[in-house]
Amino acid sequence: MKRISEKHKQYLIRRQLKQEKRRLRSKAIAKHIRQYGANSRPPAKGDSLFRKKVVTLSLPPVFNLNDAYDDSIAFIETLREYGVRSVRRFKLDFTTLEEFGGAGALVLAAELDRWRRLSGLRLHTIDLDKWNPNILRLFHEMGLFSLLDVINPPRLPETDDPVKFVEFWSANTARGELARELRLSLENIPGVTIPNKSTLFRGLSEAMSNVSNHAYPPDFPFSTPPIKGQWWMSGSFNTETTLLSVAFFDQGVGIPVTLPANYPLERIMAIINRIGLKDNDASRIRAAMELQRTSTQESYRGYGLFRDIRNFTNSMPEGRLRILSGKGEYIYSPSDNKLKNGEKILTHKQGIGGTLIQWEAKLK
Amino acid sequence: MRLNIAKEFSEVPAGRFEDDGPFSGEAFREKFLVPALSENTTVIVQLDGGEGQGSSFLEEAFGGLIRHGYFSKRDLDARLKIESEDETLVSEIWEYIERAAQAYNFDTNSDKRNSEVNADTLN
Repeated sequence: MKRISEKHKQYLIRRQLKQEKRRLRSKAIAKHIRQYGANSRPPAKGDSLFRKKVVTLSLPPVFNLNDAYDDSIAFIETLREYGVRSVRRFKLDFTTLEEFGGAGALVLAAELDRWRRLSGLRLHTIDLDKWNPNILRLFHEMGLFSLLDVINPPRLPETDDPVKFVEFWSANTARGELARELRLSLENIPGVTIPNKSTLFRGLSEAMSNVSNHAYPPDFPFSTPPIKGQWWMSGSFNTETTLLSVAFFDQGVGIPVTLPANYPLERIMAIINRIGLKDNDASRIRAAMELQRTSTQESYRGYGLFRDIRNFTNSMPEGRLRILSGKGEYIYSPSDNKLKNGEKILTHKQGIGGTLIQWEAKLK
Repeated sequence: MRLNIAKEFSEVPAGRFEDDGPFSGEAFREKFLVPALSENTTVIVQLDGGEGQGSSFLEEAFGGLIRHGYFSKRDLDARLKIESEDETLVSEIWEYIERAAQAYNFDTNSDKRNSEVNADTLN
């Protein structure tokens, strides 16, 4: 047998290593596509899949969908990029979080839940002793750790904080019994009796039905792979201000996209023009509310959602309805004299990545 | 015949189609409403007692009676009664029936259509 020179031997070893790397990369890409679908970006050469370095994503100090909307949604987008669209190893740093809003918590929980389900990972908590104790208590009360099936959930005592949360609920079908469970959980909080339970139930059950029928069209090219049909729901009550809050969220295409599927575009534009607005996500949500009031036979599958979700707001003292969908925001608060006709719309720089419906009302 | 949605179908109905969930408007219509109307001269549907019913549920259950050609508006006017403490809910349901009738014009040949449907639903 001919002897191989040292130089040739090194060449063969290098070639073998390159082939092995290529084989592992093809395997990783195939696995990624099986998990996340062909629309997602497969792992690139420089991705940390192939490196051991773990990237840390720190939450902004204030996370809510009000005055901190832009920073909060920017963080959600980063989480989508790292956790769902591409394959990267990362950890979330909650020690930087100081303040958290209820509706924002639902959107973040939904994103974490999507990451967990699509990646197949089981999450575990770290540095809990460095978290803000109010944030830790909030997450615990909301059931975030059990929603995410965390390996090592913390055990925490009750506190005297006036804002009481009930656990998150999530499903991928219209489950009326979960809407009832949410109401009963809220009514377990001292001081809570929801006077118009059927109107709240109508709003929630209609939101679930809307998700099943409209939110996740089968051939839509989602930029972030969704969990088809999935929705999330939460509730809270402030024992000092008696403010009740219920929120419902889906990661679907959003009302501005589905509206033209249910109503002719000419009708949509006629309403937008009549109100004196430009065509954007916010004005389309506003148009959807108007269209539902005047809907005709071609839209029997249209927006009964809006009748039902507004009714709870109309029936409660100081009721307030908020819809965030795409980049648009619609607020309906009939008792607020500062709003023209009790309505207001806003456009944000970044979309929420779905539709959030939030009801608030004073119970006394 | 009396049909109480909460007692005989679900206290928490939700969803329009059977794919949406286990207690949808379509399921109520196909399994309860159509057989009841096919086998009885008058059917009284009672809405109270449960958590409530959403628009999609009601529209598919009742508007679907017309859209799917089971009955005409004339039939339903004569034979269907809806009871609830909330009168607006009763009006809402009749609004769905009226709209479906206008859209699909099922106010003629009711006897022929019913006999065809009876054969289908009983098989």
